[in-house]
Amino acid sequence: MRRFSLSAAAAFLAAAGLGAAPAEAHPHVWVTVKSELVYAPDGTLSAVRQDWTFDDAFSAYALQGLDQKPDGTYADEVLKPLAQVNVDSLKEYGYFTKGKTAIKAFAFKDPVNYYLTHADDRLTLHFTLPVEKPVKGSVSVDVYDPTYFISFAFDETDPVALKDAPAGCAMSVTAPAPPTQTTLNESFFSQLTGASDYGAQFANKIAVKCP
Amino acid sequence: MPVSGRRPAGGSVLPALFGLLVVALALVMAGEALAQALGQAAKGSPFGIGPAPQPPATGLAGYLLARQAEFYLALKQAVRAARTDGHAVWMLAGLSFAYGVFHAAGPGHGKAVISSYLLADGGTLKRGALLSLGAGLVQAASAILLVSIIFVALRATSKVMTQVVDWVEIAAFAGIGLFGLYLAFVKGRRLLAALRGEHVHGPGCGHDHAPDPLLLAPGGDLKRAGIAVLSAGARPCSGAILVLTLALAQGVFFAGIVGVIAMGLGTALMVSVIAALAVYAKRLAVRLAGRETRRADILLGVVELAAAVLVAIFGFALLTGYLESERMGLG
Repeated sequence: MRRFSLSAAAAFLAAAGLGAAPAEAHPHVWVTVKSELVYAPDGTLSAVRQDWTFDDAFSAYALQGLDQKPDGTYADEVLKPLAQVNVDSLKEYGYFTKGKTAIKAFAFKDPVNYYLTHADDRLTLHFTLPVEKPVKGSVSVDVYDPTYFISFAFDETDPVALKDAPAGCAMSVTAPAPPTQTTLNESFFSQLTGASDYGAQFANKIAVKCP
Repeated sequence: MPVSGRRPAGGSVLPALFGLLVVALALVMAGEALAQALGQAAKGSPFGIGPAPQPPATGLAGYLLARQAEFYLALKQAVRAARTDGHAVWMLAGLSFAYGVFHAAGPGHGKAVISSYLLADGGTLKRGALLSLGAGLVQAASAILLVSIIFVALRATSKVMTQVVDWVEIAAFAGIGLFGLYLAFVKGRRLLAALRGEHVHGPGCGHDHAPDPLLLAPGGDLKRAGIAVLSAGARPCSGAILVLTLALAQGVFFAGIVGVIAMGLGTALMVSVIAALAVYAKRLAVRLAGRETRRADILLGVVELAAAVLVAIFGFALLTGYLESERMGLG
């Protein structure tokens, strides 16, 4: 009986291992991010402006079948409905943007001033996220996809700007270590077991310290 | 000489209990898969067009997917290079092949369907390799056809593509589910027969699949294999569609097609390795249980039924998940 149980268990585990493993997630879309934190005259953070430049393959996909001008560019009215679709769909994902004060998270309103531009085979989505209740003091803003389906990365030369920030505010930007540098040690796997927050290790973090 | 009379009742109770336990476990596991599929279903594509995210991979799968992502980036560069450099197409083919291998090593449903089918319907290594090759090539053909028809011939938009891919997925998942139910029905009858003490196998039992009296319709075997290959491969890989679209936009569509076929071959290689594991596991199980015994019959029946039930549940879990919202899944 023992042999029987073992063999059945072996066969069953084989089937289970093949079937029950989680579905995959690896980046299918790459986005280069430029952000601007916009402050109101009273010194509160009032909005986060973002420019997201998509990779060439996703841009080509998004532009398929749209009317091209003879010079290869796209008219604003052609790109406008696409920008609308992008922004509407991003709502469900919270625009992949998370804001926190020193104490707690703060929310954003639906985006305003959104539009797409096209240059060098790439689309860029521009949008402004107003802060629902403008916040004072030190803040952090993260841009990332928790599932790591979209790979967000700050622009290398010009990632983040502060606009009209109160005097004395200092900004730091943390880009994630690319997964290529990860070694296969124990901590790598234990990191990954926080399944629902897998992408957090790829977060692009803006931290602003204000007096 | 398929004869083997009734045996003393005492010998059949434990295996039967064990069989029930295994089936119950299969159901619990499948329930989890279903919950997972439902839980993740609420979200559509983040940009309103194109693929939507799936739950994150962890552990080794996460590592493999990171490698896969690197190959994908290199692959896109090779597409751009192909525009000016005629030799870049071979580079592209090589990278695509590697991408396919890593892609298949990470968990995905094509592999699960092929492996479960091999467990359920009997399989040799050769058969596993052929089924995997078929599924890989069907998947490549699916991406090439979709892009050729929708983007090249009809000059339609990505919105149309996203919708068509949704329909293809729904059809493929429904196909997997129905196919699994059919297999489960056939295997359930067979298990019942084995439990009643009717030995349904010829002398080859436990090795190559002897013709099953319940299924002895001409060509039935080939037809079932065909359905498994089609339903496992019909869903195009979104990576393949994106690469093909990039190639099209860069004016090197042909290079893209070569790349996607290489990708399918790479996927087939890895899937056949996984399928071989399934074949060996089943053989080992049956051998350990002892040949030509009633126990082996029952064990075989239980494993096959559980695998068939799994195929059905994959199909319906995926289908329910994908019907909840429009989405283009990842192959």
